[in-house]
Amino acid sequence: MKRLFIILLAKILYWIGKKLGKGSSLPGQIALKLDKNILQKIKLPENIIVITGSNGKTSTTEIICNILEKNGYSVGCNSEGSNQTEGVTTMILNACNLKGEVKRDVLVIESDERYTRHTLKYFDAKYLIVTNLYRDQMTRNGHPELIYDIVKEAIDDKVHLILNADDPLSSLYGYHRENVTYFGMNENALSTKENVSVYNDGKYCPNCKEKMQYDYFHFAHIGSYHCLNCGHERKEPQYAITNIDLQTGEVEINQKYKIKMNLRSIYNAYNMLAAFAVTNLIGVEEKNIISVLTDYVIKNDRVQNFTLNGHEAMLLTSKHENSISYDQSLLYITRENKPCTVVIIVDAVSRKYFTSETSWLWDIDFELLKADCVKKIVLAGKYVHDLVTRFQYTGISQDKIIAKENLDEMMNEVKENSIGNIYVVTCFSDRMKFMNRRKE
Amino acid sequence: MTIKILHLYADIMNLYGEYGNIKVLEHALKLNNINVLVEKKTVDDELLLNDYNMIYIGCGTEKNQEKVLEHLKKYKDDIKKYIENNGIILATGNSYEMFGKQICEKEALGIFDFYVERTKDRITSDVIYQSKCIENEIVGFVNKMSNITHNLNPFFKVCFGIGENENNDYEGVQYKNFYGTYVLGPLLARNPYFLKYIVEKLAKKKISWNWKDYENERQGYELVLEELKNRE
Repeated sequence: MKRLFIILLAKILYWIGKKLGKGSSLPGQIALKLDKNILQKIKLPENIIVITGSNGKTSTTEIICNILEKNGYSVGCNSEGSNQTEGVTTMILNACNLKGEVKRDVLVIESDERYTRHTLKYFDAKYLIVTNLYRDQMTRNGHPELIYDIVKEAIDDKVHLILNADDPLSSLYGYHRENVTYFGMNENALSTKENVSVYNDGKYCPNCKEKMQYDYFHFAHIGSYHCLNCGHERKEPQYAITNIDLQTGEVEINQKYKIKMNLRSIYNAYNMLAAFAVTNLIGVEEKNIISVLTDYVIKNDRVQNFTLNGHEAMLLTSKHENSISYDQSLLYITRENKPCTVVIIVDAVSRKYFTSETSWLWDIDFELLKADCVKKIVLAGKYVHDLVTRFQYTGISQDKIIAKENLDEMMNEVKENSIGNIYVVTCFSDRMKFMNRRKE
Repeated sequence: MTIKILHLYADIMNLYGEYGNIKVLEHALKLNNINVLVEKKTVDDELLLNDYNMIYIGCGTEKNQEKVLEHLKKYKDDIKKYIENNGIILATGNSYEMFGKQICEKEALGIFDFYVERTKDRITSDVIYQSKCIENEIVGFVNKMSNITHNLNPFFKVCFGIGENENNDYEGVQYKNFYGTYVLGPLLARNPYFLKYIVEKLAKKKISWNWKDYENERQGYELVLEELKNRE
């Protein structure tokens, strides 16, 4: 009886919340308060996929859902809501009927890496994907090795892990373990023999801390590694990108399938590959996955195209406090190789909490913007001084750089004096400050 | 004369962009016409500390700190001598913990008397600290998993944010030319007054610092200082 009451209440609260345009945490939060074991009393489908990690969770989740739905599966997913325990609870209670059954073929759950251990207390995932573990929001997360330990608490012997073979840290969950499937990218024309980013978190083995050997890098410390001391190494991925061409966007999977990526980035290729792996494991035929992935357009609005005063413009949402996310955007710009103006805004470090911490700017490979195609750089926002200081040490000619603390002045500058295409690189916390000023 | 700086463990104690401190220091010395040479040494290198005018160590993960401490312990006596002879050491983040007596149960370098206790949760905070060395406060961010107790040589008085433990208002260690603080990342980039202080220590004289070169850094510093003070 109590279960029915909680389910009803959660559904009503969800409905009201939706009408009011409010977030999705509250119904789940209240349900958990009334009965912290409510999820154990719900009959869930056997196929539950949980996606966690530092970068790529949202995109990977979205792609998985799409592949499944286009292949006739009914799917429950928390994509529109919070990825913490409360948000997951909201989604499940909303998806279940009054008898407490979730009549879906698959649940696809994006899970905040710090909350996965809490969420998975209440039900078992069949598949757990860890996309990667990078330096991310360290003011909150501490550092990746801590997050490694925290996620590890969520991993029991039963769950089938789907791991990024190329990331030495998150792949360590598979060390001496049987039920693991790896995805990864093989050496290709874009690989380098040396680490070319600002820092190298793969220099020492995360397991034993002896020096790690690398055969090649794809980006940052992602690549092919092996430790001579403890044997931790990149495992041959069952799902592999066997070739990639970012000029054409063509990606080859398992030497068998070619797909054309709409968003031409290595990171997008990894997300697609993880989605390929898990949906194939669930039973979707390879060729049916490929037909969904070909020319797949990511629906989340992280990348937006628009025009500004006659200039072609692109918003590349990047996460503050996450250098790999920034590097991804900067690499995209330099690979496009069109004469351009790059706008970088750091005005609020986070939308969820206050901090004035900007050390992470030194982890970003802003040196990439030395490229000839970058004609002008506009730095803006409250932390513009920290940006300017960081840029002093990039070796980029100071003549190219304009700094505006005031965002209206920044917009005038961008509208009036941009050269070539415009790329706006900033975070969720700051992007609307740009987008809303466009029209005035 | 050439100033020699040793950036110790740059490849393993570099969690929050600490290499920035070295870049900023090099640049400042050059601006003041002082020759500078930076060398990097790490866990499998031999150290000859007396070759250097300054040693810098940044912040690392708990595991990396353990690894580094093993190596550094071999040079315990050399470090002690180096400090007593007025050599300059700047140790930021958890690297300064290594100079105390113990980190949890494990023996550390034992150069200073303090103890490091591991906390259950991560402790983070924006901070404003006041030292006796310079008039201007230091601004920055602290991100740690420890408390420090029995510290006889605090570097800072806490003006905003957290200090070495919950029970007092002190932070860091300062003795002769040893400067240890939990303020992480490139604190010299954000604190031009402290940068000037270190440069003068290295030059062993007052410098007619050209603030025009540091207008941007100074504005950034003032802005953050004001922002944090408003949150008090």
